[in-house]
Amino acid sequence: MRHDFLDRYSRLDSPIHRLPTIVKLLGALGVVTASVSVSFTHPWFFVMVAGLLLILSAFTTIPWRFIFGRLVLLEPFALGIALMALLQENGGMLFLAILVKSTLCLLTVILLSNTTPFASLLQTMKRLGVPRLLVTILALMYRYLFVLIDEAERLNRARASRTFSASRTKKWHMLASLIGQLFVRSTERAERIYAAMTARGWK
Amino acid sequence: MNTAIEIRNLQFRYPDGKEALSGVSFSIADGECVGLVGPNGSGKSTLLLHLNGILPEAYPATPNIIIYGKSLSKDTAADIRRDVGLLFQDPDDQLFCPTVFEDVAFGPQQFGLDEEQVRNVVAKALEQTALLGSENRSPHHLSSGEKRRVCLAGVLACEPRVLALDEPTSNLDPRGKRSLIKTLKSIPATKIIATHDLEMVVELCSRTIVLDQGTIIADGPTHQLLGDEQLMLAHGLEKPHILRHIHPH
Repeated sequence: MRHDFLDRYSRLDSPIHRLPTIVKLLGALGVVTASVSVSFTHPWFFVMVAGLLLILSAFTTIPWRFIFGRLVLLEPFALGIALMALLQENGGMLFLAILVKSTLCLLTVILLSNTTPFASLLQTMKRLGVPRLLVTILALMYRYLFVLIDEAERLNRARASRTFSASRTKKWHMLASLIGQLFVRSTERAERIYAAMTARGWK
Repeated sequence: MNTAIEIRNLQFRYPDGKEALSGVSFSIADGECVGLVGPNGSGKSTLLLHLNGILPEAYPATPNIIIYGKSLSKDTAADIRRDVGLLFQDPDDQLFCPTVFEDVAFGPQQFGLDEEQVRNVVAKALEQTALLGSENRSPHHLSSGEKRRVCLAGVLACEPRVLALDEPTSNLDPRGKRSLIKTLKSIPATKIIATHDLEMVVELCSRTIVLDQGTIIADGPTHQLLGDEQLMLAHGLEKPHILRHIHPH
């Protein structure tokens, strides 16, 4: 199944991939913090950050298509919030600021997650003293995202193989029940996972 | 002979009112390998979940589960979890860490071993399950057979005295099944195996318990029980092919 759609390129071999995780993690954190906090009255700063990220992207050997495709996929969320700024007085500048800043942050995160295996990010966080509970939650999230996708795909396939003709409203209905199913199954699985954790000494 | 597991009149009702176990009693000697068979919904998995105190949520006043002389209660649950290793039916429930190494190391880390010791027990468990070299792989990149072996490694790394296995061969291809049986044979722990795979029971277990609707129907030598065609058919099972030429009487 399409297990690698999240971090498909995180196991490539490039100068950026070979950098120690801690450098990439702190670097990304730095870029994000700076992009968010530097005032938009210094446009040159943002041009420089964008330039830096693009140069780094070129070094990663990840296909441009993938990077920009991912960006387009995530942009609507930022766009939604930016559009609200337009409703204000003199919202134009604010709109642009939100859009540019969030795009740079997204690009940073896309680069980080596609040049570093998630497991090694988690280990680094642990070493940096990020609270254990938070790291555990992130680890479980990453691990079960894939199981959830598989489950959704299986449900969807089972539905599709017995759907012959359906109106649009019927389809929406089925989608709603599929999401409901997924939710119920996830809670049940969460209980079983917790049992498995307790069985091996988790307190 | 030392008693490993003793169960006295165990009853369990799920919160929705369904009675899963109604008065189950048996005991298993140290080093014994026992097959637990019965139709779907007969209470096999529920019974296994009781062996290390995952169920019930509140322990009864009179102890009804005794593992190596220790009766299961709130105070002993942590100890008993170390003694009883449970292999769950669905490997995806059991593999919750981002890499194979971390998953196998999960148990030993909880038990407070230091890093060096953890590395040693993990290496040993991975060797026993033929997984050396897979330490850094992610669970979602493994095949079903490999997932099952990692689960088993995670349990073995806790060095349990009792292995409770829930459907260990389901979803495995014949080769995966073969290698699992071989691994299980090489492990000296006391074993209780809930399964529909009767051929495996014949191969691994000298004794079998037949469970149906939460009650023990029969308890005795595997060949005698599984060879009894009428008994098998009455409880949703069938006489395994290997025993076709053997008659119970």
